[in-house]
Amino acid sequence: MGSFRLGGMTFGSLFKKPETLLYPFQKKEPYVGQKGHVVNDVSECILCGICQKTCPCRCINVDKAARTWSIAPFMCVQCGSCVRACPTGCLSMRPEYTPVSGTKYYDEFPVPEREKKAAQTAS
Amino acid sequence: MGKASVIPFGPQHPVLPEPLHLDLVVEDETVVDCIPQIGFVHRGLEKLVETRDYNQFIYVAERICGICAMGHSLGYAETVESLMGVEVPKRAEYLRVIWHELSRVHSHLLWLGLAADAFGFESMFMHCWRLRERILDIFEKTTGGRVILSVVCVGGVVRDIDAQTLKEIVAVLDDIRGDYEKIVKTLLTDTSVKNRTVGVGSISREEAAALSMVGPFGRASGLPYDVRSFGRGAYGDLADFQPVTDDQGDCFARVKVRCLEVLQSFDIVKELAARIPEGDIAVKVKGNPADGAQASNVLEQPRGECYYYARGNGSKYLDRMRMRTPTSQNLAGMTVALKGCDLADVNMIILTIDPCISCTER
Amino acid sequence: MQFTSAFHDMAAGTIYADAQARLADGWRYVQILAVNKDDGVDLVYSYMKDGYLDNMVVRDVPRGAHVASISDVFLEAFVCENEIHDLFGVAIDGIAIDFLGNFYQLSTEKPMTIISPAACREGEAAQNRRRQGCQGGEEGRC
Repeated sequence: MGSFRLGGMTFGSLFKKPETLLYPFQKKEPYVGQKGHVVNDVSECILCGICQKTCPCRCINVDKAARTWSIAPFMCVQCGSCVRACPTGCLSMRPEYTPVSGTKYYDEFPVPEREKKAAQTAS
Repeated sequence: MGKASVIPFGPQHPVLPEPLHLDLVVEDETVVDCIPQIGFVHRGLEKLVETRDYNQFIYVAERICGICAMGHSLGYAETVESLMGVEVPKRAEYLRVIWHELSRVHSHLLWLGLAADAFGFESMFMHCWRLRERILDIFEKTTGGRVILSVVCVGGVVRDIDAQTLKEIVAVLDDIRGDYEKIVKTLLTDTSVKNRTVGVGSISREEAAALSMVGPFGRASGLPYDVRSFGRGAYGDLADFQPVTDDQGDCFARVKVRCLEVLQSFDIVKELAARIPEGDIAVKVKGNPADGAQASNVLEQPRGECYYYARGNGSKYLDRMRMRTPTSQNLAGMTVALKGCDLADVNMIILTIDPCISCTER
Repeated sequence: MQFTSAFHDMAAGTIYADAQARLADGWRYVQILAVNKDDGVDLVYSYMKDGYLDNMVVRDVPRGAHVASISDVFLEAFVCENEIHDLFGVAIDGIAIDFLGNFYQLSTEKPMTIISPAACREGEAAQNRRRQGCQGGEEGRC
C-alpha cells in the first residue's frame, strides 16, 4: 500500500511561506489595472452623457441642467465600458474597491464650468 | 423485490455546487429511477436582450455563470461577430484563447477539488484550490478581475498582455505543473479513490452517442467529439490537437479525462504564448445587425459544447440571443448513469458530469 | 474537419420524421430554441454531423398550436422542450419527462411572449412596429 504520496508536498509546506495573508495586518496591494471603482475628473467633464448611455447597469446619471455627475457605486459592475467610451478621458478606473457600507448610496459630483480655452483658430 | 421509496436529493446538498433537485426512486439502497428538476436559479437573462444593446449584453452574458464566465463572453462575442460579418485580428484571437484555456484550467481544478471533497479527501480539495489561486492571480493581474473578467468585447479584446507578462504566465504554469502532477498521480493511483470511482456510473459508447453527450462526460465514454478540433480561431494554429478520450465510461475515466485536459491546456497556453503575433487587439464595430439575420456558433467550454444563436432585427438590440449549455445536454445522460447505482454513489456520479445548473437555467 | 453552419426552413408537420431520419443517419442532436415574433413563434431545431451544423427553422408556429415531441427519439431534448413550453407557451405533446408547466416556477405565464413597455420605449424602429400588438406588461419589468 502506498501512503504519504502527498507527504512531500505537505512536509515542504512547513518551511515555505503560507499561501494566505494575515488580513487585516497584511493587505494585498491591488494590481495596476485592477477594476475597483470609477472616478470622474470633473474639470475635464463636458457632460455629454455618453457614459450614461453606454453603462449596462444604468448606474451613472448625468444631469446637464444641474451640472452634476453621479454614480451609484454598488450598482456598478466595474466593466469599464464608460471609461473606454468617454471622449475626453475624464473617467478612469481606480484599483481600490468601494469600502463596505451599511446602506446603498450614490455619489454626486458637481461639474464646474470649463473655462473657455483660448481660441486657436487660424484667424 | 424490495419496496420502492422516493428519496429527495437537493436542492441544498454539501456536494452540489449549484441547486439541483433529484427524486431518487430507491429499492433497498439501489437507485432504480431518477427524476431531475431544475429551475431554482432561473433569472430570465435571455429576456434582457430587449433592453440592453448588443455591446452591453456581453456583460450580462458573462454573469450567467461564475465558472464559465470567459466562455460565455467569448461565445457571445463570436456569435455577434459572425452575425455582423466582423473579422477579429489575429492577436485578439490568440489572447482570447489564452484566457479561455486558463479558464478551463481554473474550472477543472475547481471541479477536482469538489470531486475529492465528495468522497472525503479534503486535503486534496485544499491543494487543488491552492493551485487554482495562482491562476486567479494571473487573471487579476492581466484583466483586473478574478472570476468575471470583462475582457472580451465585440470586435476583439479590450486589454493587451505584453511579452513580459506572457513570460510570467508561462513561468507560473511551469511552477504549478510539478505540484499538479503529484496531485494527479495521487488521485489516479490511490486505491481508496479507485474503490469509489472505478466501475461506478458506467455509460457505454453506444449509449453516449445515442444521448448526444458532450464534453469530458462524453469523451470519457469514448466519443472523440471536441469543438476545438475544428480548428477555428487560434486553435487552428496549434501544431497538433487531439481530444483526450478514455473508453471505460465510468467515474474514474471522467476524473482521468479532466486531469489530463488540464495538462493539455498548459501546453496549449505555452505554445500560443510563444507564437503570438503582433497587431491590433480590436476592430471598431459600426452599425447594427441586419433585420432577420441569424447566426449560430459552438464553443468548447470546460463542460462541453455550448451552442449560441443570435438573431438581429435592424436595431442595436438583438431580437433573440440563446445559449444552450452543455449541462442541459448531459442531464439525460446523468439520469441514465444513475440508474442501477448504489445510493452512496449518487454524489460521485452527479459531480462527475460537472453540473453547472446556473448556466442551464440562465 | 471544418465547422460550417447553415439555416434551412422546415415545415411543422415534418419535425418528428426529420428527427427519426437524422437519428438513423448518425446525426447528433444539438438543441431546440424558440424565437418570439409578432404572430407566432419560430422554432429552430439544430443537429450536427461531422462538423456541419444544420439549423432547421420552423417559421410562425401559431400560439397554442401542438407540436410533436422528439424526446422519444432523442431523450436529451426534454430539457429544451419543457423550457419552450414554459417560456413561450408552445404545446409540445409527448415529452418523455414532462413537468406540465412546472419546470421553471415562474410568476408570469409565458414571459418571453410579453414585451414590456420599457422594452418598447427602448427599442427603435423595428420594435416600434411591435408596439401596436404589445400586451401591456407591468411597469419596470426590465
